[in-house]
Amino acid sequence: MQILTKIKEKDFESIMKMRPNKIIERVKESGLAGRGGAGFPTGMKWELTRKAEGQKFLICNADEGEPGTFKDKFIIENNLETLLQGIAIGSHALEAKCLIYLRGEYSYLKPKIEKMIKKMKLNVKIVTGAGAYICGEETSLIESVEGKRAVPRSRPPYPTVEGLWKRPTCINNVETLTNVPILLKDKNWNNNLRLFSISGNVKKPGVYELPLGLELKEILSVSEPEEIRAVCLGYSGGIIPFDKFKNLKVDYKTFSEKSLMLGSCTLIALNKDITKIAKNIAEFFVHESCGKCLPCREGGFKILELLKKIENGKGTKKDLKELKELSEYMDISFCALGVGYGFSMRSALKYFGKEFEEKCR
Amino acid sequence: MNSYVLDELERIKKRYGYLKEKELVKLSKKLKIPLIKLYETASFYSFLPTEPKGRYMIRICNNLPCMAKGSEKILKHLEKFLKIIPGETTEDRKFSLETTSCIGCCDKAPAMMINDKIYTNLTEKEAVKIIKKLK
Repeated sequence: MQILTKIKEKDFESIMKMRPNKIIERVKESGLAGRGGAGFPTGMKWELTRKAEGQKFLICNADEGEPGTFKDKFIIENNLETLLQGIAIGSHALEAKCLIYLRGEYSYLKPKIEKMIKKMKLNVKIVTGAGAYICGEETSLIESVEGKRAVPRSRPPYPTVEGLWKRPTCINNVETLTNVPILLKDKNWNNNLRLFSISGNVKKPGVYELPLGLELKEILSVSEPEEIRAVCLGYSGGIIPFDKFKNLKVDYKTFSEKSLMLGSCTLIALNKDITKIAKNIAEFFVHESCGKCLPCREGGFKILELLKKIENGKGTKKDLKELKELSEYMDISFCALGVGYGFSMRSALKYFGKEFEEKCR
Repeated sequence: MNSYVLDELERIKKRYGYLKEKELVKLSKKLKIPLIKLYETASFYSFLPTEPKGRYMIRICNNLPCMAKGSEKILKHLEKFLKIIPGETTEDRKFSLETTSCIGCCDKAPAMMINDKIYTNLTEKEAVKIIKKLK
């Protein structure tokens, strides 16, 4: 696997002697973009942060909370050294102080990370989260590091200008930073490879490194799927019927054309009833909503109530209509959490409409 | 100097199992942060309880990858064995039971956490065995 590449000590040292602007230039040229799901060009983010005034911060986002996603944990467990080199290079390029925001669910990995930081003589602070999905959102993460409720901030100002303690802050995902040392040293570095987290009703769940552009069934075949009906693209990327989409080309362009989101390449293969799946997703979002904005807080709650009713066979056609309307309104939520919730619900209703209708009188 | 409040709250939780008011008052004085602000923060996070919990906090993942591998059955089984439902604590204050959002063990589902430890590839029998060992 490319992501498990280890670069030589002396190569790392030579990168650390490169001029910061040169490093940023190389990262920009490489085309590396955020692997946490949003896909913002990494080099540009670095440049924006570096150009801003004041003490800079680089935060490694290890708050991998999207259900069904475990690739960052895989990296921390299997190539921690390269990740920390990536953080060190970023810190050098941005002249930034470094932090790792590690999700509370992964706190058992903290001693291992601390040990490696010490061994590599780096100055990196680890902040442990405390079980809140929304902290994966950049501005919520910053609020959390500052010791507050993780409620997202308005943008602008963007974190690259005014982030942690009002300082310019660059937040990069684990997989993004791990790729930095590799792309700087390996001429054959391939920007088309992604880590797919595959789980659910499959015989061999796991993290698989595969190129973008394969068909959905080719990708899932590596995990030996059982008879599956639906595939969830994480909890926010959409729910699709496997049969209809098995030949779908898995890349960002095709997905956005089909109004789906590939995000962090999470595939949950399922053979469960769609209303049960939708209810589970709704329960998750209701639990994780921060309560800041009305559509997500109230609309999200109402969607769950309707889904419970429908799953129990007590739903009516009127309920289904209301469910459709509410999932549209979710689009005006303040942050991606509420938007993703609505997005997921709409795709379920669009592709499994018949099943919902059959359940409603 | 900016302080890391979550670190401090975590330290108190580790020691007492929850955020004891007496300790929060002390922390509030030390950091010069109003007590209400500390409660405001704590109440946001699933892992920072402000009420006493069992010595062992059992959290069962209830998201889809674990559900596909039978997490519901395991939860039911543990409820029966411990005689509590999620959100409750046993009378002897030994165990608390909760469901949790994804803990990133989807390749070894179903999974649960007990305090900071992870247990994976669970079966109903296995889960009870693990808990019996803690008794």
